[in-house]
Amino acid sequence: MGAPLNTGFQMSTPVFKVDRDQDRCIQCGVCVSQCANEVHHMDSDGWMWVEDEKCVACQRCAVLCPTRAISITDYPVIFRDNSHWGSASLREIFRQAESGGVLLTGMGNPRPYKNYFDHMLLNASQVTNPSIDPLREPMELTTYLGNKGDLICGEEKPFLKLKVPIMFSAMSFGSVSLNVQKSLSAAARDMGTYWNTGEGGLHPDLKEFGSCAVVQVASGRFGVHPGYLDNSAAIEIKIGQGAKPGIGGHLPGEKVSEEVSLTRMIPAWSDAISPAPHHDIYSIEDLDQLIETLKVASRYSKPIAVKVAAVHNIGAIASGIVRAGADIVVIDGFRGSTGAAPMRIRDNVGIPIEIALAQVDSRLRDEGIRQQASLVAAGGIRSSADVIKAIALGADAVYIASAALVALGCHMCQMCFTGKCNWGLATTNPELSKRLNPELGLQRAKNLLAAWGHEIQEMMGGMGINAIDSLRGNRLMLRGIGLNPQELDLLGIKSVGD
Amino acid sequence: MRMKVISIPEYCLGCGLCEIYCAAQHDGFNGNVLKAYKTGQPDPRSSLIRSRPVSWFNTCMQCEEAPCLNACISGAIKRDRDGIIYIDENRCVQCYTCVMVCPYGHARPSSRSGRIMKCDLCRDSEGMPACVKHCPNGALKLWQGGEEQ
Amino acid sequence: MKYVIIGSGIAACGAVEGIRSTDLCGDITIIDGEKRGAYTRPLISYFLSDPDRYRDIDYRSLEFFGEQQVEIIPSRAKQIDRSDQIISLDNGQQIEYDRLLIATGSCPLSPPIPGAEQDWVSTFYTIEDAELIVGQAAQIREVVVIGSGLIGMKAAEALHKRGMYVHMVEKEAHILPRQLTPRTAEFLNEHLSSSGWDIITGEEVTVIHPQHKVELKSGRMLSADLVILAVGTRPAVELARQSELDVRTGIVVDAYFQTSDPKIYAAGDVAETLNLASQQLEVMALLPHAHREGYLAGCNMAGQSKPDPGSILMNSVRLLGWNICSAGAADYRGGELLTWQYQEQLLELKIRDNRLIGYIAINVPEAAGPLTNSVSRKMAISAASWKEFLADGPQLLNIPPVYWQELRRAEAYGSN
Repeated sequence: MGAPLNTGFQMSTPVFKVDRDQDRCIQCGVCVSQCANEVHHMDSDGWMWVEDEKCVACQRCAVLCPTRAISITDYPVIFRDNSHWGSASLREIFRQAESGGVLLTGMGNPRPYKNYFDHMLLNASQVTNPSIDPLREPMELTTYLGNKGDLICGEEKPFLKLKVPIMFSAMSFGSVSLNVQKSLSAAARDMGTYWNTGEGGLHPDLKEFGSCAVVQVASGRFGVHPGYLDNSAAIEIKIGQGAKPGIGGHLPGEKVSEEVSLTRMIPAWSDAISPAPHHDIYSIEDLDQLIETLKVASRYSKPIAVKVAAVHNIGAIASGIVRAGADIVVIDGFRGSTGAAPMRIRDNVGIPIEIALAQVDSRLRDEGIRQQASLVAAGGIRSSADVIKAIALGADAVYIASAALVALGCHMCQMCFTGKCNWGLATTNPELSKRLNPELGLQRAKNLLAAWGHEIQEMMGGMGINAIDSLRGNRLMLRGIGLNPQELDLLGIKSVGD
Repeated sequence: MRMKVISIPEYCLGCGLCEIYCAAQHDGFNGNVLKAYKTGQPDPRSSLIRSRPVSWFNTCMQCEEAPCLNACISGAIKRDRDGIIYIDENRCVQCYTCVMVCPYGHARPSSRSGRIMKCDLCRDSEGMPACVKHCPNGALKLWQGGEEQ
Repeated sequence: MKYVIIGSGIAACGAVEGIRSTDLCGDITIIDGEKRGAYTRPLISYFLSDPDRYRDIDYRSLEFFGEQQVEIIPSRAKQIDRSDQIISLDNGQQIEYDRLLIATGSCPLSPPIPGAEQDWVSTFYTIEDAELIVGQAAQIREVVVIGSGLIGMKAAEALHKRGMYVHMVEKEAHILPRQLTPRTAEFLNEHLSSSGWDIITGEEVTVIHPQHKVELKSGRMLSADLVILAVGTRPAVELARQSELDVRTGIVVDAYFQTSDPKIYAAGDVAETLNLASQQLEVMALLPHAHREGYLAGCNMAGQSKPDPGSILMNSVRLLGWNICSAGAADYRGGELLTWQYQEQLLELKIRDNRLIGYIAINVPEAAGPLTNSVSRKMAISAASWKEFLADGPQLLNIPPVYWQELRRAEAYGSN
């Protein structure tokens, strides 16, 4: 049986080195008070010292230091060069030998797998098809998500209407602070788009933002009650997420505060682990029944979405989901972020969203059912260029979460599962949550959407397109660069020069 | 028009950057933090009160009927053209009567120099008061007469 | 509207500011009996200690009076004719008034000690008194100060700083009898004595002999080149009494500083105002109160209706580097006394009925403001909270949180 060792001895040197320029340090103590990992210390005689091994490179101290006295660098690697046994592999084994436990991590897959977005280039108009000037012509970014097939004249089907094809993806209350949700929900409302509650339920303070919320029903069914389903714009059944396909959500006990406990309807301070499957969905027929049940319960007034992780055979899976009655299919690629997941699952399971999206879009078109559900892509969308490429590959809209957190201050230190987020994001500790002023967060999130919206318009104009619908699934706008023929084929795009 | 810096304890992290930039903005240091703390005697004009679990920057409330102005025995505390209450250090005799009458405990002697420290809304510099400009979490605001608090 | 102010001290300046806050047109005339402008008396001891550094002891400058359009007449007021509303001055002028403010302040008491009329014996109250001593300073080596109140203390400090040997004779059992308790007085006495003062308490001066010898009741003889009489002050009510206004110890005024004559107001040391602690009308001759009272009286003279919220006895003084702040009554009958001491710091809190009713802070200035305010507003802060405050260390950050809540609540009533 695994049992943690109790020695103070560490097998290796720290990962990061915290350098303090003593000429610049004024012993103000801001670094000490702002580091939740207790890296910095100041003795009563003013002597400043650090514990490098506790540093997670979140950059909080370096950013706030009034004299820029602190820099975080990699601790000089001392392992002999080995292209098979990298320093990370060795360190991870050291940790497991000490703890006997599963390695946890946060945020998205950082491994150097091929990034297909970075291997696709966009078209631009030159002579034959003139570009459109977004400053002078109207550019339509409005997007509708829902079942667009079999529309009978006069029949009302529920849709989500987005002013910009970007929504805030699922981040549960508990994995992130209330202030994060306040910022994103208000930004979504102000910018005419939607946010996702994640599997932590809807906090009472956010009731007014239910009308622009996609509420999630995950395998743990946390916080799910009739009021929750009623106060929403859409209901999303979460089968899986890109960061950890095949397993359920995980909120470590340290983050289950009293408020989280009330909102999720679970006991405080103990781990909240969602089961891997929904225990009432063991086949596609079960999913069909649940979707239908939710539609009846919501009086057919809201679109029902189903979120799955991008895995092998995603095409067939998506086809099944559409035929089961989902109005929106959300596909979360392997770069998707998480508040806590086993490192091995996050880094080794799932497939890229670019390939998954192309496959699903093609498959649904081939089967003639593409219109019956909208496709939303998620999983590490980093910029408006990624958004454009995702839409060109077939997405109706994208979900962003990592990018939204970065906009609010995340520095990707990947330690979300500790609950000690120094930026006040991935924590429910009230002292830390304070660090995100929701008024400022709201403005930052809005700025992000506004900026990306403008960039999308610029790129569309460059392509000679003035409505986002014309870009949707328009693979001809993309060319692959540095991709092999099979990859080009899977993505359904030509190579540059072709 | 009345002006004062107000502190929002909800967003205050108690980090102390307000004090640092306040001190650096006065006494001729011109906002240069390094210079103030390495070569000089930095004296923040207001103090950060950490009274767990809340904290706030205890700035001058620029009272309409200012007890400190009433109490000053040498007439060193005055109101300038913009209505800002400040201390003319040439006339201050450090009797501490102003300290005794300030209900906010704002006016207080510097632990470094013994001079009376009082917020003057950075009247000798351009732009926003230094504390408001540099608060990392938007916990300080410049309130101007007539607005809602 | 013709405003006339008798007096050119703190209350007078406050009145000018009060009047001008609403009335920019009316004429304001100040009758400056001392003919030295608006100087502040507390600074005369600073002047005495270092005349070059403290040459300028004006409370408000001549520019101020120019800007506020105030005429200053350097003469004494002799008589007030209330029916014709005319004041007769020493220099023969007759000044008409629509509204009159009597702000004549206090005058020092002269104890009936044989020998007190000699020219090397004087009170210490005006700038002239200080200037005379400065002029003779070279011949003064030893001084006797009679009375250990605030004036006596500051005079003694100034003389000590000039290198003179100071004897201080106090009738009561301890120094600063109206501000301090026995323990706090002893604490301060230690500091002053160890700096070289000869402090004699529980003693009285019986005779001041022409041979520069001061005799005490016990028979002890002190040598003195100079004797300062600092046994107390009284309000300067002669003019008011003569005019048949209602006068007790000081001039009786209502909450708006009006005297028994609706055209005549009184403020400052000369008036009796509300002491919040005793809920009685008393003379509280303290500088902070004088300015506020003058200001409010001025506002009311100009047609506003600003009642006096009342105040409490309070003092802050610096003596040989030590700061002593006190508020409320030093008379601590009943209730509980909490004490905190650390090295040169001593704090005494007097609690009664779960309220702070007074405090004495020696070298603990930081928390003085909130302490004073707690006493003035009679805030309901329990003895237990105050004990915790002392236990954590009497700093601003340890002030009981309920104080800040009460303050915010009081703010809602528009006092700031």
